[in-house]
Amino acid sequence: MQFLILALPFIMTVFILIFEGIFRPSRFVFSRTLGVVWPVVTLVVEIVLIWQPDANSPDGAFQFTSLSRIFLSFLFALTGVALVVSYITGFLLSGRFSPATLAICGTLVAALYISNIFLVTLFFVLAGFFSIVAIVDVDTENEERFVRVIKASVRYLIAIVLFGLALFIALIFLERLRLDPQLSGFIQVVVALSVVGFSLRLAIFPFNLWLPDIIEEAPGMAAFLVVGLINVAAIVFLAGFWQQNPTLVYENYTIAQPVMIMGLAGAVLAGFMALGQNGIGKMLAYTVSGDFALILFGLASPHRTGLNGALFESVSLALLQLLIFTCLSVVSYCCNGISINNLTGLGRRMPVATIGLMVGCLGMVGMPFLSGFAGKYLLLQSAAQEGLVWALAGGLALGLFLIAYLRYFHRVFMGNDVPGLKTLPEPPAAVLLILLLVVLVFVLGLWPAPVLGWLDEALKTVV
Amino acid sequence: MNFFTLDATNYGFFVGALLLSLVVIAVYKDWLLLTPALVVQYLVMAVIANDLNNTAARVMLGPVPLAVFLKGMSGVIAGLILFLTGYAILFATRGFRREEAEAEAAGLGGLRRFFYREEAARLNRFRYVDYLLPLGAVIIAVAATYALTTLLPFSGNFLGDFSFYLLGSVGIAIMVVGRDILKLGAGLLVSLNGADLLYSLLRNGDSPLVLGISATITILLALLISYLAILYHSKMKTLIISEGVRRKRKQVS
Repeated sequence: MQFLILALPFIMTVFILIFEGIFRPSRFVFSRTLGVVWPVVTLVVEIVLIWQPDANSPDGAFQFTSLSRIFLSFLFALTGVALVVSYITGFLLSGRFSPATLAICGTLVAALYISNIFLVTLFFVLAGFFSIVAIVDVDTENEERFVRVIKASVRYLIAIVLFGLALFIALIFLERLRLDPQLSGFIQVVVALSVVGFSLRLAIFPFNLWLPDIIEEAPGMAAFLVVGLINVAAIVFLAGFWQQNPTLVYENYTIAQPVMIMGLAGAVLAGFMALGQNGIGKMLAYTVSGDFALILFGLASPHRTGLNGALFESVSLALLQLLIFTCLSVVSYCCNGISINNLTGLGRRMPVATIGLMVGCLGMVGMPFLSGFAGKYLLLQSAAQEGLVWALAGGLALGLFLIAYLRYFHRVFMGNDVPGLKTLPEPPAAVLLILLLVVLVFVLGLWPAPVLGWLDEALKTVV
Repeated sequence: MNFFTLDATNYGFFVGALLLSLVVIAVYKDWLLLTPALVVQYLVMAVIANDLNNTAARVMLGPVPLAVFLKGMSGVIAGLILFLTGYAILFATRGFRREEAEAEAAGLGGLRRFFYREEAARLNRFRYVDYLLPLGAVIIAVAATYALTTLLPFSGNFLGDFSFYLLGSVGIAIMVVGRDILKLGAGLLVSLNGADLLYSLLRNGDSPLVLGISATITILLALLISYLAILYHSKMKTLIISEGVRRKRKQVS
């Protein structure tokens, strides 16, 4: 069973590579269709396998926590939707996206399944490598964009290797600390290295230099793989890691406080940076970076509300990112690949994508009735438990995100129509998916209690 | 001389080889020198790591320790991948030049080609600064290594601490001063090797699985660098990222 869970995504990746090598998706329509069917079926089977009672090995070498089960199932469901969107918007033509996505899912399963934390680190690095294959899958005819994508990929590659190095070294010191508890000075080293490593992975300000170009230039669904899939899985690992080693952060307020300050300060500064960006992708990157910074604050917070808020916010973030990138992919498809930064007044031409993007953006700032509200509320509540200034800083960050979103949203979607612009109608299947995601955002916003309850129960089992 | 274990007779040889290989990786742009130096560095680090943390596991009941085998093999394969990448790029460049010469002979070479040739000549000409900057960075990295080893020792083994700090600082220095994709990749591989060494230094007994996955990561990283380099070169005819960006900006303006 353990072998099947670990190997299935990789076996299917190799199979799809061979299949698409023989039947090129750019030439055979059935190959393009199967390019989405194979991975979606694999992900469904993988979700079923994850929940099997005998998935966990008796010796504890392979173990899913309840938290990782919930998150992996949720993230794989979102990834399935992302694959369908890619199919609809013609992103599967090159035949690289499906195998890369499955390989990423496989490495994430391994990362959250194998108990050896050194291997976990290496698997997260591997997931980053695979995501680069999806990021550079752009049209090489547009040379300017191509150069920027390669530049962004190299930056991202450096960031993920440095993340791996920092976390790997932190784990080595942690091992040393376990063998000799007298070396208490190592605690600071372990926390510092793990925080720097995860800040690089999650692109928390000021370690977020790689993210703006990735979101601005990479294909929308590839950006989702980085931000919504790998980064959210990394949060699950970090939450579990700190829970299982409470001496690092939770029982050590003097160390937790600087991490919390870093999270809140990162969110506020990312908010200011978002206001000064000249592209919608870069603005999105800074707001996402700010959201991850708030999640880091919640994870380091000694209050249960903060931790619950951070986990719920991760769920919401993955969902909202999928919604936003789906809408942006649809806009890009309908505008025949013209950069969205050069367009205005798209609201009239693409009403459903506009509504989806509006809901996504408002959800990201924690508007009531939307999925982002409960998580942000709990995070701010946790900040308020630390003091009024902390809560005000969190509120300021959200206010800045709101202004940044509204500014761009107004310019691109509500401004004057571009004369002579030829656009395609929104694909009906994409419209359906966007509406489905919007409904999910509302359901999660209006009725967050069950998800919060599951996460809380799951967290208890991790401890 | 036993080349799988460190002793008084070969200590200087290994440390010298490590330093020399790092200087070559940092300073030279030519992949014909860079890739063998990378392989040498991996082999030396394999022996040093094994000496710091003797692994019981042997390969096929032979005399080669598993750690040395895995690290050495991953280094050789990574070096080979980068070597083949460099060769492929050289091959492509030759083809491009041949096409250019044919166009020139057919009287198709216009002003645009003339300016392109001028620019290529400007980029490829020998400049002392291209070597001084990396050399200066290496000197600073070595000085920082010595300072860190004496001020912040953590393992109780001078050679281990020194090698770890040296790989980390030189790897970062290479990434800071490197301009082309292969060079940046070499910097990443050097840093990665440093983390592997630390694992051997501080862990009591290596886990074969961790060593194996780590070796896989090294090979995959080399493959990814190769993929990015070939992808970029096939379109932009250069490996220098900033050059591509500058060229595009010039075209736009």
